[in-house]
Amino acid sequence: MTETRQHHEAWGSRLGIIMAVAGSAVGLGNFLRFPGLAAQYGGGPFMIAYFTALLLIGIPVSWVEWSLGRQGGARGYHSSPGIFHALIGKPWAKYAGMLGVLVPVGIYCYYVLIESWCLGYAWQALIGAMATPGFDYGAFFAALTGAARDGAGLHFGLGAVGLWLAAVMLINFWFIYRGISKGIERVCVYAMPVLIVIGLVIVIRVLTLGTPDASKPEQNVLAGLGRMWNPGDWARLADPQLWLAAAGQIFFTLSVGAGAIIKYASYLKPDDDVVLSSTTAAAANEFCEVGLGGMMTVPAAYVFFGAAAVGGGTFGLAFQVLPNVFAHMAFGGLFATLFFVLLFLAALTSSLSMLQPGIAFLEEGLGLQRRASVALLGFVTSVGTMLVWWFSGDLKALDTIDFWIGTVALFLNGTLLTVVFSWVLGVEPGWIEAHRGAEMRIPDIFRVVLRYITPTLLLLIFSTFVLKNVFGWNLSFSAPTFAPSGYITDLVGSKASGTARVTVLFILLLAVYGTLLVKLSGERWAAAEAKKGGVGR
Amino acid sequence: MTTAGWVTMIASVGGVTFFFVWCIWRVVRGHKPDHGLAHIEPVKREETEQR
Repeated sequence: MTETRQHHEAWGSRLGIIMAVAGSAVGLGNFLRFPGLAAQYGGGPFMIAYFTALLLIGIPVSWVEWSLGRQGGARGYHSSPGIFHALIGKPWAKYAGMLGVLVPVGIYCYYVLIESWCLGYAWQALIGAMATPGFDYGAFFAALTGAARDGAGLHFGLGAVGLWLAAVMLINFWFIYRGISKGIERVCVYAMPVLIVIGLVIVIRVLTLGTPDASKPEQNVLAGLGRMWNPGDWARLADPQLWLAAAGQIFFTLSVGAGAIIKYASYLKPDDDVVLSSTTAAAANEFCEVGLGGMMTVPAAYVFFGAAAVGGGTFGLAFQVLPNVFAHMAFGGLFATLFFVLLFLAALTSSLSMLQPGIAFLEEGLGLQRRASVALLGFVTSVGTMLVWWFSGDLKALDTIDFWIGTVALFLNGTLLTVVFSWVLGVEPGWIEAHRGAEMRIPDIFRVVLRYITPTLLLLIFSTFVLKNVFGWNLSFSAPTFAPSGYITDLVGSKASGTARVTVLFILLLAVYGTLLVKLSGERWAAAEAKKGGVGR
Repeated sequence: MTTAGWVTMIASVGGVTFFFVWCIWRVVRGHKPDHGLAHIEPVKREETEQR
């Protein structure tokens, strides 16, 4: 193993790692994507599928990631390639672990841009710019993000994204430079409680909206809650699309497969609890998602603008509908500021967790010191962010990288982690490892779940997802049709998009670069282990 | 808001809130295992090392 400051990194407190993992999981999706999906598929049926996926996929995979991470950390490895190398001991393992670095670093490249939108919107709300009569929210969003055409968002100034992007990148790398305890933990220990308090304040405000427009009595807060939670048609439970959406949401919301949890858990001591801690982090995320997100965005949007306002997609809801909603309510400027600060905090705690796996790999694999690793990762991610920022027309680059890295590769990594835990390392050794120092016992039924159900479900969901979103399957067995999805026709054929091609080229270059670094790292680890006489000894 | 809507909301929001509070309470209380883990975890540290 390399002698870097990695060895001296550790969590300052148990609550610190719980808040950090919860912070990694709580993101924009909790307050925007989840409510939109629940309202779209009808509260009741969707929640049944959602909680089933939480029990059979979300929480078990969290246990797996925490256990694998702590086990790898005990052997002296803190990066995903290193942990795979140490635990599996095969030449291919470190390359499989590379996804645990590629996924978070790739996601960071565009996520940091969205994070800067949140900060820019918070500022605009604070100065009251968005509450002026006749304000065009769609035009403002297009101008800030550059969605109108490539390069249109490349401006600096308080009303543009450039300044905020620079600030957000500096904030992220400053805390990453400070390390696990003084950086990430300190941010999350303060940010998470603040985020929850802000969320509760906004929920109380939404629940006390009553009927803001007396001429539209049907648009009241109870009807808004009904739009979110009324079950609609229970027959939708037979719709595979609903189950795919619910399982996907659980997967994304808990950040399983994103590479952060395994990395964070590697800094635990060998006898630190992982079962209760991981369950608590998942519970914190669920509270923020269902308890706060589910009570906030959809009801507020419905009360002021009716059902049409709810179906505008994640970005439409957050950056066009809700600012307009806040502008129509008493003390709207204050609540809009609070809301975008909440989104910024949620995004910040997540983006920090996306950088840390890359830093850990560079330090552990190449033996770099913190300054060098921060500089190198800063350069690589800046190239990716610049690409997404410049090719902003229709947010095509952002959408492309979000699909291939933030969705396909994320799914693949989560599935891989579970298959490794359940079928390569074996559930029994993993079960013993998970219970080492555990303050809560996992119910025995989960032995069966982890061995058969979770990996099978993940493989099924991943293959269905690819068949539907890549090969365009209509999810019908009786009359199946396949037509390449937009993400494929963007790359090949007469309708190919230059932006999509450049973005995928960037992803491929990142993967090749990562593979070379993993190869170099493997040689260094092998040499170090030969010197010491074995892995992690 | 229908009755089924109320039930869905209360069960979902109430469930996750209870789950969260219960977990935090367990963590803050520093609860030690009140069940036998010996069958999966050796009691003595030296046995742990041998495993």
